[in-house]
Amino acid sequence: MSQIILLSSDNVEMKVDKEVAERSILIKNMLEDVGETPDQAIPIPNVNEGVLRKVIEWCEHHRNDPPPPADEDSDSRKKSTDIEEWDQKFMQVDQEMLFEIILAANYLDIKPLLDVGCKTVANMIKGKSPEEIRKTFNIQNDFTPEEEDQIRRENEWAEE
Amino acid sequence: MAALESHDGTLGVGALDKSDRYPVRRASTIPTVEACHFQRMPTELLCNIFSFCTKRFLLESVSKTCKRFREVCVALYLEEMNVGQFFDFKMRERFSEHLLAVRHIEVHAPGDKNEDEDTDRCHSMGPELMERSLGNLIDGITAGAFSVLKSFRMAYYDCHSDKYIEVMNALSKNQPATLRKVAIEVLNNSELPNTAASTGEMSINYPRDLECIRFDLHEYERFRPPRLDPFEILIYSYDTLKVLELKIYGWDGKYSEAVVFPNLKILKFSQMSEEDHKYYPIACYLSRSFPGVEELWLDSTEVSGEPSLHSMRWKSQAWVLNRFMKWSRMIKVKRVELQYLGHDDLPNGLIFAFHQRFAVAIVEELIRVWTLYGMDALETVHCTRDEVSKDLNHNVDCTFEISRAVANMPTSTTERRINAETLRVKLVEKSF
Repeated sequence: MSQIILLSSDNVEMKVDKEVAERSILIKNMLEDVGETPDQAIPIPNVNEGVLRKVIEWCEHHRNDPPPPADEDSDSRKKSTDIEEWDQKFMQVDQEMLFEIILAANYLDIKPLLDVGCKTVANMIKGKSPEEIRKTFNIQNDFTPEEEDQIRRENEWAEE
Repeated sequence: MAALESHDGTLGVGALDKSDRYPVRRASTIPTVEACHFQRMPTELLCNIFSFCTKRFLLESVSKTCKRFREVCVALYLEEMNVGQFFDFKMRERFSEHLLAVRHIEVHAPGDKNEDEDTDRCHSMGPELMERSLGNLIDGITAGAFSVLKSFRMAYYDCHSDKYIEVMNALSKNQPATLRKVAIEVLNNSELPNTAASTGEMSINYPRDLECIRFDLHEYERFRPPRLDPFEILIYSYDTLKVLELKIYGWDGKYSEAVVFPNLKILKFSQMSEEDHKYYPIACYLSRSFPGVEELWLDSTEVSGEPSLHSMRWKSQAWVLNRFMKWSRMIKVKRVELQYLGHDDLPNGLIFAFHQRFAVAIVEELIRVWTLYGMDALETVHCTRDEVSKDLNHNVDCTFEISRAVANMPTSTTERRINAETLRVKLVEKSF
């Protein structure tokens, strides 16, 4: 099986099966454009070593998964936040890593991983009050009291 | 509402106006490690994360967290509107600057129970309020307020259809150039709320040049055609239609004249009737009209009629195959998805293991018949039950791959038979 080398943003080379790397549509398209398996490392400038290793780990585990449906609005995607057990464990990382994985999945165009990451965050905020969400993610409340009043008025029609 | 802008120089909420809603390939600026936390994620990713929450929760909770989340949540909330949101003129004025961003509109009938809590408030709307909301919606459509609308869904009771037909007519007359999808659901007439009945006199126009149409008569009384005609609406998009999802019961209405839809690639079809004299004509009609279908979805009831695969036990195998043979005329089909209705109780003590083996054998035989009589391009057939049973013994989930030793496309029945002899139908995956 042919392998390619990926180069992280902090200049660490990683050898990976081509089939695994091609879970990333960005890399897949790049390889198709080049035509042959490149000898040189493919730079991934926006992803550091730690995150890239995690992404590769996910791609390894899901190397035989069928491609995701092309239709963005497909019913299968519709609002379900169910996550496979393996993916749940995979996403048990600190928040910085979690958001880095989401950014990397977006950049590398790995839609199923992006969805798993986004669902994980969605599950973290579900059912929480604004204050609890702020606390969970260390978000600063930047509303003035006047603005909070206005929000209450704006939301009236929707919340009644 | 403050101007919509992002904190990190990446895409702002205004970017929602681009045609793709959750693009993963957009070349956005990737924040550096220091900027990488929830509040400062790019808007496109916040939208993606928030899309897994209900709109109501976003508005009631997330949008009160910080200014940035508020901007994104409000934009998302107004991107998809249901008719219940049109009852208040003040709201429309307050958020008028965002109405341009509405991409999806849902219209529900009063009393139409919806499990989605975003739209459930329509369920409790009285008929008068609904009437007013529909009027406001028609005004908005007529005034061109939804210039980037992509999809429209409407559920209605046919006997109370006048106001809903007015909505459809307004949409047809003032059709946004971006409108691609229309879904219509005709609801069951039992236990109707007390609203003004349809006069049945209004003429009907349909939107044109759609790419995707979904028409659902599943809940509708089966013996009378509804006012909105599931076949008439197709004609208006004959050369643009790519995906059709059609759920009819025992359709007894007329078929429109034979029109060929050259670009239809995906057909999802469901028919409840077990009566062959209703089933055959529609299978033939659809096969004639959609010669280019590459992906064919046949749902549960259609595998053998209610109660589906289980009835194979008391109906003959020939009956089932004969019925399905009608689809072999779709010669460009590459993939078939069969979904059957699951029952956890089998009649007469039928053993599940036997049932599963039988189901696999039936599907394999079906593939051979299809390929022999026309489906030369068939590559994959997947058969599963509609809902996975907790008892794994009750499930059937199998995938077949089809290959041929002779690669050429046959031009005659004789060549087809020769090809059929070289056919390999391989069960590549099963999960019982």
